[in-house]
Amino acid sequence: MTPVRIVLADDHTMFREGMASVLASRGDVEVVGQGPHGIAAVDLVERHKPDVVITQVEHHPRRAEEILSAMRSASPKSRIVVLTMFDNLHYVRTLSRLGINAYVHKSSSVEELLATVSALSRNPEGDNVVVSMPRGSLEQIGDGHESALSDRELEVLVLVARGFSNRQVARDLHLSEATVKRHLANIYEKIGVGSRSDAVRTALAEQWIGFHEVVSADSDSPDGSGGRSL
Amino acid sequence: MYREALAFSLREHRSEAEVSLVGSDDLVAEVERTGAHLVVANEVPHAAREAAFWIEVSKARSGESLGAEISADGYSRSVRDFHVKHLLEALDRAEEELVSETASQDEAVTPGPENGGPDEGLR
Repeated sequence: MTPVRIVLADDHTMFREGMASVLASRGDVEVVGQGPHGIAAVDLVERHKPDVVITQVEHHPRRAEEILSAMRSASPKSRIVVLTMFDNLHYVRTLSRLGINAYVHKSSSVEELLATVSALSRNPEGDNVVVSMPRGSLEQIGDGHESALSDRELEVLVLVARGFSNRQVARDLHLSEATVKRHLANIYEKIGVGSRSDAVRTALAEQWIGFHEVVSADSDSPDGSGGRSL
Repeated sequence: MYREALAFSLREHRSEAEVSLVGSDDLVAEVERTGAHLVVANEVPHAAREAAFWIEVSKARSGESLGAEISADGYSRSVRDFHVKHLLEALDRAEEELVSETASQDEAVTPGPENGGPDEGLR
């Protein structure tokens, strides 16, 4: 039986070396390349055209997209397993849209990773995404917590989407301006963006906030002259 | 998955080493029970530090390399990028220490009559 050819990309050297040893110990797997994640990993994928890529990815969606797209272009038939410490469902969904084939949280066991690799290699045309993540994270589905943002953060974001300045948001929500800035910094960190416009765009695209919330309060002018309700 | 990968590396490169995997709550008790010579953990409790060589591995964070503090009988160092070779070096030092201790104990035994010496037991 031809072994499954794997490229392993992770910045944590001890972990990567250990995983490479674990994988190599299996007769049905061959680790053809290993190294840090990112551009270096794309080069490995280009060179080896592996059956499966096991890779860490950036938390920042845009950078993750760049790397995953580059891997796809370098080797369209390779199956991509994302190995990550992030258990945010929004993140899973984003990566799924980027075309990954499996999402394995690092709390998973080695056996679970091996089973994932085996499943993908046996069904190379399969379109389902294999997900292994903590039960607690999965149990959040359907509880209305798909968004990584708190209710207050969503309130801030709706006002930002309406074009409010920090001062205007602060006045509207009866907060200090510093608190608004802190909320925005947390929002950027949580959803991996670097600007107000990117935050709004992401929140609208992910339907964490609705267009109606943004446009229905058109009497609610940024200068605070009109009344509004969220 | 981290500790499994680490344990696999140890078993692969030092097959004579006996490796136990335990959670942080059971760490000190396991060190006492087994008389471990090397402890590897994210946080090494004081009691374990007293009893064994140790490696404290930083908590894994995305975008950062995995650092570690290594303490092996006066040989202490910090590494910013923890490799399997660092793990094996610490284990080898622990083994050297063990061999050295064993040799010292052997030397402390006075040879008995069958070995050409007086039968006096331990000094």
